[in-house]
Amino acid sequence: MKRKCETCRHTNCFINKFCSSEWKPLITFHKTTLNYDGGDVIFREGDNVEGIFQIYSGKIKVVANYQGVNERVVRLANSEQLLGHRGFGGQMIYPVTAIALESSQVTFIPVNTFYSAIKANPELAFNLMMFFADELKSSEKNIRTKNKMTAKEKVISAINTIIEAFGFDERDPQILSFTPSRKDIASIAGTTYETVIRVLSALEKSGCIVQEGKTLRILDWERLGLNDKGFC
Amino acid sequence: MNCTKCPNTKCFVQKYCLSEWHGYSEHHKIRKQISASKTIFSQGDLVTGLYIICSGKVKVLLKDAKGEELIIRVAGNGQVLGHRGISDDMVYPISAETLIESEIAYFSNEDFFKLLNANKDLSFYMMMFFANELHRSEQLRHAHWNKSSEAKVAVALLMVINAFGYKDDEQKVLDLGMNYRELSKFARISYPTLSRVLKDFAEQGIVRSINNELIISDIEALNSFVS
Repeated sequence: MKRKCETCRHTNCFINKFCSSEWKPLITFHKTTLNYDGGDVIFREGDNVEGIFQIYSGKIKVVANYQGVNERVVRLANSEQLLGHRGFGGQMIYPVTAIALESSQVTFIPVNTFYSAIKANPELAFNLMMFFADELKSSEKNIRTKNKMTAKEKVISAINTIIEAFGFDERDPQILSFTPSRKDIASIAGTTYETVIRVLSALEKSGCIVQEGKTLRILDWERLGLNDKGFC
Repeated sequence: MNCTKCPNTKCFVQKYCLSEWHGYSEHHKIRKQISASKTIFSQGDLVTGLYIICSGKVKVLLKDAKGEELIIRVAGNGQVLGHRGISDDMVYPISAETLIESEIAYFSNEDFFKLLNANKDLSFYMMMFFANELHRSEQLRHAHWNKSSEAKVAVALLMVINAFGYKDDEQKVLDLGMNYRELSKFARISYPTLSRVLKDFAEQGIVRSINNELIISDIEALNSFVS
């Protein structure tokens, strides 16, 4: 079933927020809705960019060097966010691969429709520009901070990234609403699987977190901060 | 240069603003003539607007955790400068320095946002510009991880082509705008390594070197190193 942009209640979605009401039915007309299971590839590094994705529901990881030696998770994306914007620019070829972490519903908007919407809705254009500017900044900030981090700091920073992306469970606010696999945590942190296991058990020993099977319980998020005094 | 009769066809204000707005940009910009190797703004300075290079060549520097200065971008004629400061925290994360004598126009954020609001082609261009910058910045980092000197040199050359273009479009004579020592800093490799890679590239027919000028014979081959 195709969802309608004009009646959608996702108020954080760029289309919903910044397109005029005349434009929403047009986007509804041109878009396609796609369903993915956990582990499915949405687009692959090297594929041609034919449009932009908007996440309706689910959780998605964006990976550079997928299944290669240097596999890195560059982003975790949640519902109401854009996906595939890294393909814009350059030669319109995806530099990254997107994989569903759980079953997800994703909207696809063809590139021509997307471009016309941007040109016709100045507010959309302006906010997309600011969005890309922020992405550029955080991407470059990452280079500078990751370089001087210890293994422990990298893992803590990865946990923070996961919390920022997906938040805590609604019923139990200490449990991460979604915990990626330990291998994925290693690719987010830019370290090895073994290091993640070692650091997580060290954090558990010092009473910062509890490992409950696959999921993590954060006992004190404040203390898990990256500043000097907040250190576990 | 006067925006209402500017000869620079590469300038994005010239290209993407309605001609009615060129008077506005002329009236609101602050013109600066800056000689070679001078600082335009420094890392940590407060951001109040952005710059456009009317003519000249500029390098953008980032001091990393170890205090080492890396060139992360070069920019030429008609390109935007200082856009890395545009998002929220309002302090430049980078410095900019002229490579040769340059004329620079400064716009306050407020004035520039007015231009964006009134000129939809400009907003669209700026969005694609940031998308491109994100792409290139990550490409550069990727090459850095891979640690292949060939990829590092290829990325650096592609960035120079993108910023400065060619002195001679037909012969593909690169408008390098800096010496090889600086290029090696940009590629983040040593000077001898750069010489070796350029020699390898020449043997593979990717570049040619004539009278100290660099000719790009096979741009596709350069692209294949970085993707």
